[in-house]
Amino acid sequence: MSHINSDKGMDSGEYKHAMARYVWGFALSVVLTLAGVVIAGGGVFGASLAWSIVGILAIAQLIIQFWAFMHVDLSQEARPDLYLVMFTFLIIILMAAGTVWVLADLASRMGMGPGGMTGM
Amino acid sequence: MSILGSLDLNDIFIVPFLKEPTLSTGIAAGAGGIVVLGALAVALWLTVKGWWKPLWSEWLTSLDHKKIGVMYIVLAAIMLIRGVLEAVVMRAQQVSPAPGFLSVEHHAELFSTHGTIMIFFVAMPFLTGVINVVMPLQIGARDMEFPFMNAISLWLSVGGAALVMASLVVGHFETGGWTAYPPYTGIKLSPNEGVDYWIWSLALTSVGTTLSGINFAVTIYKQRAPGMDLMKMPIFAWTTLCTAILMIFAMMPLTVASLMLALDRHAGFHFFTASNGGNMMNFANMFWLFGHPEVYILILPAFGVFSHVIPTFSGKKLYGYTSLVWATIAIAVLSFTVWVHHFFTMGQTAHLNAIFGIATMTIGVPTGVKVFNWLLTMWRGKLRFSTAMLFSAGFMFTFVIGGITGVMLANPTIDFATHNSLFLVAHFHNMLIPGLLFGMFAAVNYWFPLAFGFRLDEKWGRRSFWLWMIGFYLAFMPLYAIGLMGAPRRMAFFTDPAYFPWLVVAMIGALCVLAGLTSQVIQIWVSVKNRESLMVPAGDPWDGRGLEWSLGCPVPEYDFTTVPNITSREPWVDTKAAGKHVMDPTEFVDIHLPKPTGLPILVAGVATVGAFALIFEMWLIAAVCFVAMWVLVLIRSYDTDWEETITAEELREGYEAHKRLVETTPKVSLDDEFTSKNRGLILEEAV
Ligand code: HEM
Repeated sequence: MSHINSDKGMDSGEYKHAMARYVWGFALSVVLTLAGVVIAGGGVFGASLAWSIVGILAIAQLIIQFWAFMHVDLSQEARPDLYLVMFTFLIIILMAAGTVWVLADLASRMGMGPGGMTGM
Repeated sequence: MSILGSLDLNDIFIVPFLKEPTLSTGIAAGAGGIVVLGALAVALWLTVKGWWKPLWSEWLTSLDHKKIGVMYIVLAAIMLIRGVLEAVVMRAQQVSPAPGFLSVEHHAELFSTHGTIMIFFVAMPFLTGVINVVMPLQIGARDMEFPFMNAISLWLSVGGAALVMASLVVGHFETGGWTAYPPYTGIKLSPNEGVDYWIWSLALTSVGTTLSGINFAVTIYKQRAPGMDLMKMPIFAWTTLCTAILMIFAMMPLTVASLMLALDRHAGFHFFTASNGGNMMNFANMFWLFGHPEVYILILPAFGVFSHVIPTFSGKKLYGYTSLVWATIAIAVLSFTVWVHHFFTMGQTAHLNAIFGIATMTIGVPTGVKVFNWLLTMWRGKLRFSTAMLFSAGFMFTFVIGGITGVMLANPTIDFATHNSLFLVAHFHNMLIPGLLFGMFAAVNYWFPLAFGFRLDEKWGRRSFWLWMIGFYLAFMPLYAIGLMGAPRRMAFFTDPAYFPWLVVAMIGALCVLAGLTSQVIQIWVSVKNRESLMVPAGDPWDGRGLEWSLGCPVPEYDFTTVPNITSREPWVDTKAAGKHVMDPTEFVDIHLPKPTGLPILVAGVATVGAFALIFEMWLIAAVCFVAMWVLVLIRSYDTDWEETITAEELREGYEAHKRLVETTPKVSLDDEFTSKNRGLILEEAV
């Protein structure tokens, strides 16, 4: 919000630029969310295809929100923030994927087939 | 259920002893008694001296990063004394004829509290304290980015430690080791309050640590002096940054796993139970997702300390700055890829183990790089063996041995044979004592003047080093040997006579360590008594190289009179090379510092009472505390009058006074470094 409240005044170019970003971000988020809802509820695609499309839409929305609301983009000033975001993703992926891997591997050794902890 | 939940008379420390007096219950009662009497004695002493008020207004309510740091270190010191005493009792237990003088449960409680305390209430507060004192001074900042949150972190850690202390007086601690694996720690097998003590004391400090991590990272990102880009930062600031990032990401799995365990225990969940779809292996997985980065949280700040102590006392620039930075970053990232090596034997397939084994060996490479950096820094330097330097040299020597046994253990096939043995216990003490404690001891000896204005006594410092060093070898080398002979860890007693001579040596080692710790207490005592002759008001008592040594000792509340412009990696060395002993002032401006406030103590105090209530299932009290805690935080949010101003004029006076002091202080040569001639401003060229 500091972008809007800066002393530059309400009709400076910077203000308009920032405002445009927020509006774009909001509009795109709404569109992508609605698209997800429609695909999930529409029944046009098969289950696995629907899962993948919704997943991709979610990632797209994540990127848009980082760009529009958190001002993380490819510019030089945003570079440290971008690195931090990327690092965060790296760690989350390591932890989540690692956990799934370890547990699925253990499950397979318990004779439950890959990935299946059900029936325990 | 009564408002006091599950608390009853039998939980009070002295009662079991009165009912059934044995040596084991006697020791438990004695320990509880020491806590109670100790607290009373301190209270009495403060009252007699009339120190309550200054203590409260100058320390407990302070938001100054230096004071917060010192309080962290005091917490670590107190808990270290308890941790070492417990270790000595365990050692004594194992050398006395089987089954020893402790009950099996009591022994289990001892290794569980010892491990929990050493990691969470010694190591963590110690390094957090050192970072707090030093890091802002090194990067030219006037405080942490969030001073209020900093105090909250401190007092949450103190609250967690207080709970562990309380477990000596009220009820019991858990018996499942510092890792507290379910299903043993589930409600079925551990029905009493012990595991809840573990869960809630950890919850408090892990939240505190996460907040500290955020604070450190943001401070480094936002508060560096102008011109200090990342690659001009001192190494200690770099290791702090990496530690902070690890803190932010690594504490989370622990907090979550321990809260899930709490849900299992009290809300009928089945995350980790042996039946009903629970999966206790996921606890081990989550615990070590935290646990492995944690050991690098512990070790990186010490690496930073050595990277300053060694150049200073070798009279040389640090060798290979860039490689050290990249090695630190590599370690920080790789530390998230090796956690499985803590449970190679849990039943995964061999190829999964192999991959993590290789990842583990890889992490040895950047660590090795660092050792060569330090060695090459010392190479052909003019070495001066101060206490801090001795601890650094002792670290390098000893740590490499621990690193080698670590690479051995990284091999899953070897790990299958040594898992859960005393070989492992020897290995991690071999990493933690030099890699953490020695680093922190070096830091205290090196940077003490910044906080208090005088040096520490060298004679007792060196004695403490030798006792710790020799004690370490005596206490832990035997464990490698009997570990390989097959001795398992966490045993209340052994019956194999072949272990006995080794255990005796280990006992002597533990006593030696205790003597080392005692020497350190004496060192502080002697130094305080002789502080007049150890005073170094002009600052820079060791011909130091970092920005922190450009300040007078003790460092004033506002740290820097003007924030310097940084143009090189070692601005203070450049200043001295230009023949000056004060950095040129930039611009004097009014600055704002946060006023002292009692709110952080209150917030954490309420949180601690709430946690205690949770431990004894006093749900109503817990709920009230939870609400009260947030109300207090809200109150702070509406407080607009929280800063005080230090005017540009005062800062200018501070600068002038320091300059005058520096001009009138006689410069001394390095040969007089450890004598009372050293009033600061030690110089290589004798004057
Ligand atoms: C100062 C000298 C120390 C001595 C003599 C000592 C001794 C011991 C002993 C006897 C045990 C039990 C081993 C067993 O399972 O049979 C133990 C466990 C442990 N120690 Fe230490 N220790 C010392 C310092 C430290 C330090 C500095 C740390 C960490 C910073 C530490 C962390 C641990 C941990 C994590 C355990 C494992 C507890 C468990 O089994 O759950 N110790 N130590």
